Amino acid sequence: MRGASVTVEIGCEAAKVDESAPFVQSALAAMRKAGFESPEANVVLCGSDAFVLTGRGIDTVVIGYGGKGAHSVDEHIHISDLEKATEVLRYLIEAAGTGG
Amino acid sequence: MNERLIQGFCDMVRIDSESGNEQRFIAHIKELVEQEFSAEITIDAYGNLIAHIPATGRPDAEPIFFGAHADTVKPGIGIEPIVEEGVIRSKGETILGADDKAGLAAILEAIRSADVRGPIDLVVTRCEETGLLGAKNLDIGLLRARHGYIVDSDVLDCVTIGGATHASIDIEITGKAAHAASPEGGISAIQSQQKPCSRFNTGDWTKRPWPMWGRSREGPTATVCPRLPSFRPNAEASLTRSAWPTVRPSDGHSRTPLTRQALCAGRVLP
Repeated sequence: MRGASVTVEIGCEAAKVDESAPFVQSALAAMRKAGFESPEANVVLCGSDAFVLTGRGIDTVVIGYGGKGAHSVDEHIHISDLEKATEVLRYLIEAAGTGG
Repeated sequence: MNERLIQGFCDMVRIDSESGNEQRFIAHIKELVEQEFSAEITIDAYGNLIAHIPATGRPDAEPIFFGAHADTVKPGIGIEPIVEEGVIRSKGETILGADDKAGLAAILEAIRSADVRGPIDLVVTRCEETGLLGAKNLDIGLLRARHGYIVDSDVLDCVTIGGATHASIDIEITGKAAHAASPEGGISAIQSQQKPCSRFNTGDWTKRPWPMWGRSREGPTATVCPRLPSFRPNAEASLTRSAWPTVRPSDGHSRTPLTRQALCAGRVLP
């Protein structure tokens, strides 16, 4: 029978955390301490657990682990990037632990 | 080179955890975190892991959380990591699983090596790759933290503070077949689907909705005016809260194809 049908599923609602929030600024500070000259806040098209959690009342942002080629057999990670990601996280943890 | 970090990551990727089959991996993380950090761990009703890692510094510091997802996409069975010239990759027949086990490995190593820490919640979710299902079903009442960080990006110097709405749109159009000798009696499914698609916006998606098309299903090609194909976007539609739905062209390499199936029903007749 001719005709058309349209079905829509909302996978994830838009979400955004205030860039000036202290925990966002802490992450940027940790990146600068790790040697990144101009870290910045951004928004993305792809989905993330972070946006779901923000929508559920737990403000959440995404930071990097540094891998490349995700979702492919070419996926890889430079050890230096993994170590740099760890360094950023360590600075973030230490700052939070000292109330900084 | 941090051998403990590399070994911890390699141990993780060797444990299969394709979406829906994360149990063994989550059990591994539970045992590791319990032993190493004396953490109180709960597995919620959906199978997500939530760990309360105690402070070593100020116990009254505001708790924060760090999260990663346990699941991988396919092919993720039998991953064998190869470390060569400063790079870790798989043998070549599978993904590596750095997404997102590198994130988790980095979180754990950072907690180990931090000079001081306040209270930390660790969250490891299931089924991120198949629709963010773990996060949607996470028992957030188990979290002490009111804000935190998901470590799940390939960019090291960006803090991603937000993302667009995602909607999957499944459009099925059935036309009326006609022979080349008398096409005027036909209704082309292809032309019918082009009319609404041509109204969709393009441009900077941060300022207005961005259309994205996916693959269309194969239909009969013997007639000039095909009764089929149906059109099923294997892609994403981006909405802003104030905008109307659009679909966006895809390069055919959907990152999470399982999220593209529409569920709700509605009928629209041309």
